[in-house]
Amino acid sequence: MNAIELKQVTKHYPGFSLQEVSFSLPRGAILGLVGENGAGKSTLIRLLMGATKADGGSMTVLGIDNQSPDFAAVKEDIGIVLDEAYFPEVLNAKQVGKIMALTYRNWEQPLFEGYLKRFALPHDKLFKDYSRGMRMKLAIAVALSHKPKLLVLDEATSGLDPMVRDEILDIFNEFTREEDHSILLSSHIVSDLEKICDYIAFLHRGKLVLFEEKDRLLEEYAIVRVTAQQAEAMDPAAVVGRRYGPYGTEILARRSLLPDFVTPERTSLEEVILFLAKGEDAR
Amino acid sequence: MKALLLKDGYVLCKQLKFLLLALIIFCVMPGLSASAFSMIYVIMLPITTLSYDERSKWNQLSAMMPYTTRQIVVSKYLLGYIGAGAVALLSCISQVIFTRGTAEDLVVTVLMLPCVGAIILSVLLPVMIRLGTEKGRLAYILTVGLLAGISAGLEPGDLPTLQMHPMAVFPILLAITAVVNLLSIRLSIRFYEKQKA
Repeated sequence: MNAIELKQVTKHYPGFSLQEVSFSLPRGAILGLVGENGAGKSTLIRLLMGATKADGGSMTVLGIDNQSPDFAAVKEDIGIVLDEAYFPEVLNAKQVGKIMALTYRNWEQPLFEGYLKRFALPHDKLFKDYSRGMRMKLAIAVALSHKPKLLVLDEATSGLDPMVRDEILDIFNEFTREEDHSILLSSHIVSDLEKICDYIAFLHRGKLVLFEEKDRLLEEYAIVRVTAQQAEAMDPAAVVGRRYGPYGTEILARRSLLPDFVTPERTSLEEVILFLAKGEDAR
Repeated sequence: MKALLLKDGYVLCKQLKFLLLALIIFCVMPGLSASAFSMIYVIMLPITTLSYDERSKWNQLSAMMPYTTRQIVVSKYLLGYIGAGAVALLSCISQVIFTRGTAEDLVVTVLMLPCVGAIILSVLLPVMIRLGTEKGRLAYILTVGLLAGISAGLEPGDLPTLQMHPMAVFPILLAITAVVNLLSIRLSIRFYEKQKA
């Protein structure tokens, strides 16, 4: 069963459109939603959580249509962390805990206290005096303290220093040790996604360019640097995209269809994503 | 709903503690005009919380939490009603203890002032939700100015209801308040939903 299922989701704004996005996140898995700023990641999360209405398509979360009246109850099982949408700035962690205890039926105050301690978050310091890292940690503590089955995280690691990011990624890994726990993590920091994700969805200018299992993506694709003649000689089915430069042609190719005369280079997820984003323009 | 009221309560206590203190002082001051001023002020508090919500983008976060649109909207009205009730109660106690006001004054304070407050709230909240608090403040100033202008210009003989005993006017006012508020809540929910489009 899928934790999230999107079918042909469309949303139009003046100057931007999210175009027929379809993908699914199996239960127990982590899906990284990657894309440049303005690619539509936050829009997609708002649509998924029912905070904005789609112009077309359908979405189910934990098996329930997000437009159905039952979806309000499903939100009890979803932990949410948003980029730059916070608790009112004059609240402190203690007050946030009290408010959330009245918000979520499954709220566990000792669990919340445990996260506050683990993250070294002071109880009485006002939210406005928190650093960005502390704000994110408090949001993550709240998201995890009502025993969610799904975490939806919008840019939860961006703007954080590498130490904090690593600590937070460890917590996400811990969360998915339960087999029915899933995470949708949007980020433009591809290296973070490469560390923990099982699936990658790449949004570019409102279009889903790629949706693939991460390991398969790295096994299947490789970047090769070839001369113009070699590029011409390659099987068109092997070529996913190409980019022309002063020193030859870079090709994102399917490893299985590569001819003998080219040697694939070690390719990171970030390179594949960047190639897809930029290579598309170069074609 | 309790969570939303608690959140607004924390925000107001922290941000406006001195103004809340001033409000209490106005409530216990002698005379109906001080009570009326307190009522107009307290009716603004839900709008103030809307503006804090906008600033921290709490709206975006709360839309993804297990609150319904109805709960979010109704909590703002409830906050206003609780404030109006508290002002009426404090003013009433003050009149009994300090000024020995007439029974008529007490009736006006306890029963009619909160109704007028709730009517003002019912006009303002849909506008604030539709336009946002920045543009909506202009509507607030216009509404209060209009009401002040009308009441200043009225003579006791102008309206038959003004010649009636407050106890006789009260049921009419209460009915108007209830109808206007119910319509206002429905309109506010619709405007709030429209923001999702």
